[in-house]
Amino acid sequence: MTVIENKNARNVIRVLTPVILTAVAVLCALFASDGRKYAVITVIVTLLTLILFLSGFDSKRIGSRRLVLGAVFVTLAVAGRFIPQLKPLTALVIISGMFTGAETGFLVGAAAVLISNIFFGNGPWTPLQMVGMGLIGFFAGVFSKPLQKKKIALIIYGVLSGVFYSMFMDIWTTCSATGSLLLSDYLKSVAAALPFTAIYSVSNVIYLLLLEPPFHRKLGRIREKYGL
Amino acid sequence: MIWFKSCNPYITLLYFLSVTALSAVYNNPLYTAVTLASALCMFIMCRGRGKTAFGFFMIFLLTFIVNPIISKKGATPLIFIGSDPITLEALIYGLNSASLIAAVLFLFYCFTDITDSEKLMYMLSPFSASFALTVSAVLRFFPLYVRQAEQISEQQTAAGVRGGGSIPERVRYGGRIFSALSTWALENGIVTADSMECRGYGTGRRSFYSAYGFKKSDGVFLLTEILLIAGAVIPSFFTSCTYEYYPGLRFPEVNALFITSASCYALLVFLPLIFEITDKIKWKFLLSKI
Repeated sequence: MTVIENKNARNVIRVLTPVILTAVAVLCALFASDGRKYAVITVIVTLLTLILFLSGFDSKRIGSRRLVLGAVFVTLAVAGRFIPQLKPLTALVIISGMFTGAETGFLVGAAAVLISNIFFGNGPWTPLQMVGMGLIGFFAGVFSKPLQKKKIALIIYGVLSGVFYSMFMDIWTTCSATGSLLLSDYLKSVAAALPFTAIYSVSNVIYLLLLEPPFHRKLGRIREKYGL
Repeated sequence: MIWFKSCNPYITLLYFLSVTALSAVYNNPLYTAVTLASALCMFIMCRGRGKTAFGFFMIFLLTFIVNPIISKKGATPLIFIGSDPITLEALIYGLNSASLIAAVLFLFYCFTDITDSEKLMYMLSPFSASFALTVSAVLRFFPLYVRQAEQISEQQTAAGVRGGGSIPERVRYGGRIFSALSTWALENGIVTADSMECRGYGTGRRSFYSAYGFKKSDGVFLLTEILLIAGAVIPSFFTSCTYEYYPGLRFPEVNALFITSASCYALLVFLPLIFEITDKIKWKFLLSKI
């Protein structure tokens, strides 16, 4: 696929293409629909954001060890999603972000959603889920120090990530059901999803508290053995 | 969908994205009906006979019912439930969006069926090599871990740990296996990464192997696709192609431009089926010659 030889030129194109496409897509959608078709705009914009975000990641900067560890976490997370309603996926994404860094965290979140959706059904909502879960992993990496040290920080992050993911996906629910994004409709769907949000947040916390100590130990052992 | 499966993945991606986006932007019952018809045909061809789409039908029904109940907009009330009217406009809007969602679900089912992991990698690699590597590694790890988990389970049984019995016991046993598996997996991951680096991963410029060329028929399809998208979009800048639901139902003015846009869209939606059937006829013809 490498047609352009110059590395800088390739990087510029890689970053500029999604930016220009996003602008064009938003303008087209606004013109063709009097600005009411939020669902399409949402999907296109998130898809391009995702491409922009991912194209910035360089495997040299992340390092192959962390990259493969990320892949290991994705596999474990996807395997865990087969348990209905209670999803250790988020907990494992958070743990991977905590121990392998913010960039790998985003990658793990996005990849875990993409691959588990191969089994559970991909759709227009996939890019949104990828961005949402990716951000959860990303910020787990950003706040890795307090998260590793204090249990209470872990609990708060588990609850917040559950609420964030649920509210983030409600944007899509509102858009697809009503074709517009009014604040009142959005609040209604957030309220309707409240029980699921609660279950989700609580299960996040339970899984984090259950899984964090053993993974902390296991990764500590590997760090000692291989000098990570 | 033999022909559509064998063509360049980017072309199929463009088809699915453009059809989904356009049908949602126009939100016109005529466009939706065309999309749904084509999506159903493709679903049947992808999935084979005798399979049902019960889950999709339930989602269709749910969307159809929810909108008239929630939405109070519209000028023609049909019945009143308490003081809340159920309007004709909201009903039609619900029917349209439910059909649209069903069509999109069918289309994405076909997209998932057509795009295997190899194609996914091909489409991802120019954007993010590290993401593509992660996805490819996961697809390899999956069967590896299943096999390893079976081995661990056998070893545990041989060592006298039993997994059966009550639910807490089974959960504990599952946790044991998962713990052993993840320890092994993390260590194995480090070894894999070191081995990759020893063989020169990340030292030179990356090159990509791709199994997907750009055939002549791909070019024909892509050109037709782009022309039809242009034909469906450009007229809508000069005349309204969107259907008005609120306050009253209003079909857009039927003029030459609208007819051009609608027919281009219909052709675009059925394009893979047209190519598929042409290909089949050609094949039959060649067979009969032998």
